[in-house]
Amino acid sequence: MESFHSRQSSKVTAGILAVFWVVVLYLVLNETRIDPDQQMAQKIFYYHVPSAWVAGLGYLVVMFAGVLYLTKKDEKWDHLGLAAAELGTLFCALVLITGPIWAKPIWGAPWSWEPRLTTVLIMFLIYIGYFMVRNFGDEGERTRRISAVLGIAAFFNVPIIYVSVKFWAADAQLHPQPAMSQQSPDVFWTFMLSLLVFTLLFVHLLRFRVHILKLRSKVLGMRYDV
Amino acid sequence: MLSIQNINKQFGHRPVLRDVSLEIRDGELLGLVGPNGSGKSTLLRIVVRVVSCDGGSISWNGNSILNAGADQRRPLLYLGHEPGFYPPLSAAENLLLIAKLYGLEPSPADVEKNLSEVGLDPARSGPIREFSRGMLQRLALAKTLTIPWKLLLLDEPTTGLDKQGKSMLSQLIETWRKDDRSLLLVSHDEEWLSSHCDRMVQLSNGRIQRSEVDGEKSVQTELMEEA
Amino acid sequence: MLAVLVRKDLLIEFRSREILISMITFGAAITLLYAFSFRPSPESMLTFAPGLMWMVFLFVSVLALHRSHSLEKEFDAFSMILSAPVERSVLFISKYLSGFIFLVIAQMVLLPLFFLFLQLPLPANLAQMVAVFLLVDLGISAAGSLLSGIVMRVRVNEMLLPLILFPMVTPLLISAVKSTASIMDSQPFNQWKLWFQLIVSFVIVFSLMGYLIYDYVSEE
Repeated sequence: MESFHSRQSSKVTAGILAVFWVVVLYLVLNETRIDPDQQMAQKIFYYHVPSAWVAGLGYLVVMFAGVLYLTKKDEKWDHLGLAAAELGTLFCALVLITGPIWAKPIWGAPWSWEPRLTTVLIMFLIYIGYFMVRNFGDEGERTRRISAVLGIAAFFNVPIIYVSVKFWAADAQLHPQPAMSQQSPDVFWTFMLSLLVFTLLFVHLLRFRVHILKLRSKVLGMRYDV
Repeated sequence: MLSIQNINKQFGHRPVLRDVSLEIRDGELLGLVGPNGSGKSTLLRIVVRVVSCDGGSISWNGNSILNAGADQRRPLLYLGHEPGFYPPLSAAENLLLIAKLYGLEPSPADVEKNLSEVGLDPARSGPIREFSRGMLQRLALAKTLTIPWKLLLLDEPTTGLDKQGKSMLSQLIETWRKDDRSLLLVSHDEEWLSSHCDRMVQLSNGRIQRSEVDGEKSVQTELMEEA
Repeated sequence: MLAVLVRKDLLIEFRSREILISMITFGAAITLLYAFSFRPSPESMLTFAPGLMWMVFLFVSVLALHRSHSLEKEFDAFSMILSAPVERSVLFISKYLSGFIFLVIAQMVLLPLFFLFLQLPLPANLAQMVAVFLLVDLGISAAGSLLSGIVMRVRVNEMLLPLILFPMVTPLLISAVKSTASIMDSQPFNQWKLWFQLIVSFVIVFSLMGYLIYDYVSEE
């Protein structure tokens, strides 16, 4: 099996990512306007929101991969699900870190029970449970099956979680609600570019991780080949 | 007839069953032998869908068991390694429960009769938590008298049985043979098994090694390479 | 078949009384701890009470789920049920209903104790409260039965079950607390209709999911 990084597609993606990451950073720091109220703190928005987007995307992939694994029983769907779960959780963590970093100077306190952030926190906790199940189960087919089920259950719970949290702390509606279509071009296009970069990063990391998991499975299986 | 085709099963990354195929004809008593860890119990549990398999198919009289509803398991009865009862319930209650799960409504008299036949006291109403291993095994055999099965899957049926118990089991097997019912027996006691079965199959390291028909040896699949 | 399975669970519990006794004693112990730990004014206690109440019921549910599955594993009765001609979705519904019944029975004992020890006034609209409690119990049982089926054969499942269950039932817990608080505050139904709708949504989603996918988690 060839190395992931020596593949043409991987090199191209990595190259595009490297270039555009720098471009976005430049745009964020130099070309986008400075918010009169929030000043530089607002700029975290170009990283915070795409992280949340990727986390959501990751969990969507976990759900689809789970359904496909249960119906087709092919290990490759489990690899996809696990990789997407890891990335989704990683980006969840980034949301939970960047949120308070922004909130401290703006709201005065790093954490308030804002609905979107709280939903992300609950999803993060659910997935900690998911990884513990993976860790404590044997590495076999049953663990893959129950992980698929967990991923599906978690995903369908998200809308209920969000609505309940939104109305639970109605006073915590402090989260900025920027309407993207109403933003000036510099903000809009930089944001879209950042979103694209994050999505591409997710896809690249996902492919890499799936490749590793496939290799790992192959190696572990070799122990028993006669 | 039970038809098992190309069953594969892994626990973790360790293959437990590799491309296992076998058939049990109507009225046949098939013995499955093999060392510990060879996958015998797992195969039985896969047939009754207690354990899932990674690939392959199993059918009873042409109808798939694995991809079908629970009704396909009605002709099958599985007696596993563990007794398979609820400890707080009495022997009679446990028997009645399993009868109901198979859609039957035996009378209390029938249940008592079945308990007596396996040498258990029908008057005893205490929880089976108090039973010895041998008594639990007898109660498991009472299940075979309660359910009108066509194929019985027995895993180590002599466990815990005393000499009388083993003799009772032998008599039961003879009765079943006369009734033209099929049996899949698993045991590591090859001698006991060969005295009761029409045919023996050896499972070693997840693969079928040899199949004997009335004492004649015939190699059915490749022999495993010596380690 | 469903009746057979539910009756089986109830009969076992009637014989052993393990589940209900542990639920009630543990629930009462936590309630006492609350009473000793907080001594706020009656008005403040009314604010905290719904949350404390539902936490007790969540904790005792976890106990019940553990015991229920332990009984299945002790002599491997679960394999007997799986090998019998019983549809797995029906098996899920039976666990769901038995769990619901045990929770309701435990609440019938624990709620009066809760109101007594924390010196709470009885709500004016008892019928509404009963309806909400029954629905939330269905939700806890649906999610609990599915998730305990998932972790049943995993190591350290005593720790794993609450770890997975609690985040999953957060929306149910929030809705239960908000509804209970509104009822105890004698608010009209219109004002807390949303929470009621969320509870119903949760019950529907998890009941359906359990019914459809329990088969995938029951086999080894």
